[in-house]
Amino acid sequence: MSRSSRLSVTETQRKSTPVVKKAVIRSRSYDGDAFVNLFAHRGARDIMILDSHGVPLRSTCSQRRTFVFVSNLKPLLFMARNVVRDLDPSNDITFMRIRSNMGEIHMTLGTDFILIVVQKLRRLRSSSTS
Amino acid sequence: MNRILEKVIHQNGTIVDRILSEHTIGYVVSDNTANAVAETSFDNTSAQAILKHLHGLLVSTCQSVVRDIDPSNKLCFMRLGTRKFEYLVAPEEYFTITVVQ
Repeated sequence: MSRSSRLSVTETQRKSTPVVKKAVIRSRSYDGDAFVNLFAHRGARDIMILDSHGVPLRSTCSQRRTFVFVSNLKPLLFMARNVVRDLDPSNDITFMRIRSNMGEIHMTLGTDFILIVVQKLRRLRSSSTS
Repeated sequence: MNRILEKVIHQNGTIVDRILSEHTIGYVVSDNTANAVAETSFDNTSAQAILKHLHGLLVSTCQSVVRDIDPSNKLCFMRLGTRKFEYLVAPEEYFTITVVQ
């Protein structure tokens, strides 16, 4: 997961850098990216790319929504890394998945970047009371 | 409280057996109110570590984060993928279940 995500992110960033003449006018800078299209096909609602320190670099949603997600999820992700390190010092976190009633949040923690994918569900799921 | 747990395990016996058979290193079931280990297959030290760090610290923070992002949302399940194994945490109303696989 982390390796393929890194390649896709590199392709995305490389594709956005050069200015292609006679290109189709895009309403947003990420329109047409294969990475975003693939994830949107799989139900992803928002994709955010952060650097290793937690600064958001690229996002598919608005700036305010990105700020809300990043300000909440960044300390949670770093705390999860610390928890995994506390449980086993030789272990390291690679992926985190939070399933809630309305959606899912997938977070991958790599050495170069942090990728957050917010996924929507087809139908709501009520929490089971045992 | 343990009677509810025994009743639930008895009702879902096949599911429990399926969970425990496939690639599972162990599991911890902790009581939310008493903050104690209700049932576990680990030794006491590992179970207490998982209870303290995962259930006490990470699950509560994760619930707060989900509630902060959307107040009508609620945490159902959490998966922590690490290099060695994977923690599957299911916080419920009375118990919190963690399966390590």
